[in-house]
Amino acid sequence: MIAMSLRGVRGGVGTSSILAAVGHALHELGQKVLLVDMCPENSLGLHFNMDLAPREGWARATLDQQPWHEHAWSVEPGLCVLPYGQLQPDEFIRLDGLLLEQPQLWSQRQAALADAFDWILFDLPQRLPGHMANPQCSISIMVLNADAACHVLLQPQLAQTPLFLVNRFDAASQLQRDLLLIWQHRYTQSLVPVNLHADEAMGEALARSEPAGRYAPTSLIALDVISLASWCLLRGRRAE
Amino acid sequence: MAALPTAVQISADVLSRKERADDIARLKSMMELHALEYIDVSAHMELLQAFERWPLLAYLEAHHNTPLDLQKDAEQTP
Repeated sequence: MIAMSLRGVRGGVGTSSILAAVGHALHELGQKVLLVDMCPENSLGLHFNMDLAPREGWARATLDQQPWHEHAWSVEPGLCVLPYGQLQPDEFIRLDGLLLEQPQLWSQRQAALADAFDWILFDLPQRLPGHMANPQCSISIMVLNADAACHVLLQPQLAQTPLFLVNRFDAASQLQRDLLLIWQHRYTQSLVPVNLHADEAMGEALARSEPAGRYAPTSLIALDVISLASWCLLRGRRAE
Repeated sequence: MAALPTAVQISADVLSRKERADDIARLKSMMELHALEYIDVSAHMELLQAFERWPLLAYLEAHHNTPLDLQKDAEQTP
């Protein structure tokens, strides 16, 4: 079992959409995949036609001291989503403290899931250090867009998450080409060698409650995501 | 990918993998110009132009601890 996490360098860079699309692509490539929503927004399931903000989820169950593993949704055989569950702001801050106190919590859960899944993908939130640090992942990727704000935020965060992935790349933009050139020179080892292109199909897919690869299998972004999933398979084998 | 025939065959053992993939390194080896200091001017210029176009990027670059190596081949052979 390979654990991978995605986290945006800031909000709104498209992290959850990528996670849903990569999970779907890995499943298409024959892998058993579990997607875990680590974000209090509790909306990852929308990419798979699940209910908005389901009440039950792993975080709700953990706080209520209930079995956490009973709330996963099966999208299709071998592809499951574990929602976060509904928590009030004071509750998810309390849970964050709990996760900091018990740094082994998710690694124990990952070990328990190892036989059932080939991949566990974590959608990590912003600014909740307990949530961000708890899953033990052999592949941790930071997602960013090729803009100046992400460039400012990138450098201080690279020490924490040494791999980064460019999303919504537009080759027609001079600024984006220049940023990519600088990143390729400065962070050769950190840059995931697959760029996800800007594609209307990605936004449309969520509006249809589907991952991009199912909504538009021949779109540019779906092909990019298959390339990314293939890279993950190679990288994962090396990490195991 | 098929290997193209070259007038001078280069032993794979002599060159590192990076050098084998690097046309300039192959040319230097074939022409026995090992001491030639080659700088990829176009890549250098593109980076400089990028920093000229966007002052914030140049400002951030100046704040990095290690200056960016603008030469194409950063790896030095022993």
